[in-house]
Amino acid sequence: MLNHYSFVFVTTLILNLSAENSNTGKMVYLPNGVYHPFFKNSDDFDSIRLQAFYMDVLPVTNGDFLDFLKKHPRWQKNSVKPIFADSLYLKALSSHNLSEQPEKELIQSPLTYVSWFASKDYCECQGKRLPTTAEWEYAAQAGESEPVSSENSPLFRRILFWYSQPTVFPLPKTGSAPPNYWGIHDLHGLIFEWVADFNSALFSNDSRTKGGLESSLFCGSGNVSVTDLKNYAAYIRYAFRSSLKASYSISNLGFRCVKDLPLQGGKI
Amino acid sequence: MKNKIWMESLIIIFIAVNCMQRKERHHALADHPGEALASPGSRSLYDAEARWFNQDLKPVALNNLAGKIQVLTFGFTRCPGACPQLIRDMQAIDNHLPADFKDQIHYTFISIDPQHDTPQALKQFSEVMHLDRARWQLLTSSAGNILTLAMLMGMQYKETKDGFFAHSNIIHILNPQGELIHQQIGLNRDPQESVGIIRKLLTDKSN
Repeated sequence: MLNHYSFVFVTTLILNLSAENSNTGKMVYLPNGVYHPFFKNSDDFDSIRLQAFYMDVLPVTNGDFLDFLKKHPRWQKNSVKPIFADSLYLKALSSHNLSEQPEKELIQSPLTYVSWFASKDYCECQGKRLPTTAEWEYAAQAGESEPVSSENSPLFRRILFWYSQPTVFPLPKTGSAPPNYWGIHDLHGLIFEWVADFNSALFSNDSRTKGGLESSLFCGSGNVSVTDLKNYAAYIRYAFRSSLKASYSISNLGFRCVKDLPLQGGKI
Repeated sequence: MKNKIWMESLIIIFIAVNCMQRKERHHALADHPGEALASPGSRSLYDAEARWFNQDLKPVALNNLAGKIQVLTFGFTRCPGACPQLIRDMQAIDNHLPADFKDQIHYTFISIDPQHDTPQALKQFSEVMHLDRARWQLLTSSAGNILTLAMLMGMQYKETKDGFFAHSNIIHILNPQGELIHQQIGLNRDPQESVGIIRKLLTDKSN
């Protein structure tokens, strides 16, 4: 019951605050490109050709998601089907946290404690979708001034520094750090993000009988499959993603959406 | 021509289940045969509401599978070796089950390759594999629906550079309510463990 009241309370707030951040709901265009996967098995593509797409400038915020919950009550904590979200689902939106953090900041903080299923449906309800691993990494390899940051760029050091720090709660608001080359904020330094194919990037024919974690990434000489050993940051992200299950709701894991370009000439 | 119709209908399902909002309206019309299953706390996979098509181009909702024990696997019909073996492994399980109870057990093959596996291709595959039409169903849907169901069942797959798929080789056993009870992992396994679990489900069901 308490949850219900706090929900109504916060949704009223969104109406007042949603206009505050000009980047809310904004997407940027990423042109056709090629992504060289960080981790490759013998049967994987050497490079992945990406069609141009749009990506959200900001990760989905608490405010965005509260708005979504109002329209799609099946995703509220009390009504969500247990197969789609574990017990920690939407923990950060509980009334306890509301009293600890100024509302305005909460509304603009990235949504976390959200399952892959909820993330996927959120994007689809906006006419969007979750990015693939390749799309996310393609966008995230940009520095502030170049589309692909060089190996010795300060970006990698900053990312590794962030990975080495415990997550700070409450999470800072989205869009505070400078955008990357494409104009996208917070791909690094705030939260981890769901991708559509999070559990298959490391999967190969060699591992299919195990049906589980890719041992060749983690064990001994198996690391030869890693194409760029200097990119330890990507290594951490791949390992993190492969440890997830789609119903997990985690304190530092949220998402953003992408969108395909409209079909041209009405052709299918 | 058939392919074109198929692609169009795929696009229609994609739009129809794109966002669950439509389904919420659907609920309001009480047009939901599986509603009784969705008790609070249920872990039924049939809660994943999505539209599928079978090998006869017949629309199927997952909760149509309720009421029987389901033995289910994922694969694709161009699959050179593993998928026919998974089917043979399912047939091996069936061969060890008492004949009297066979009408209570149903077999489902879910395609992970909607682009190639049209209902027609699924039908052809079921004929090549000599699948009993009364007890086997082959299903396909939009790529998004297939991925959601695969995620629910802990099943991994991805496209490989030779144009095929790498995928987990798992046979899933679901109780009549659609809860995942057991996974037989790997190819060419001794069916006895799965057979034992199905026998127990049959006993539970008759009690």
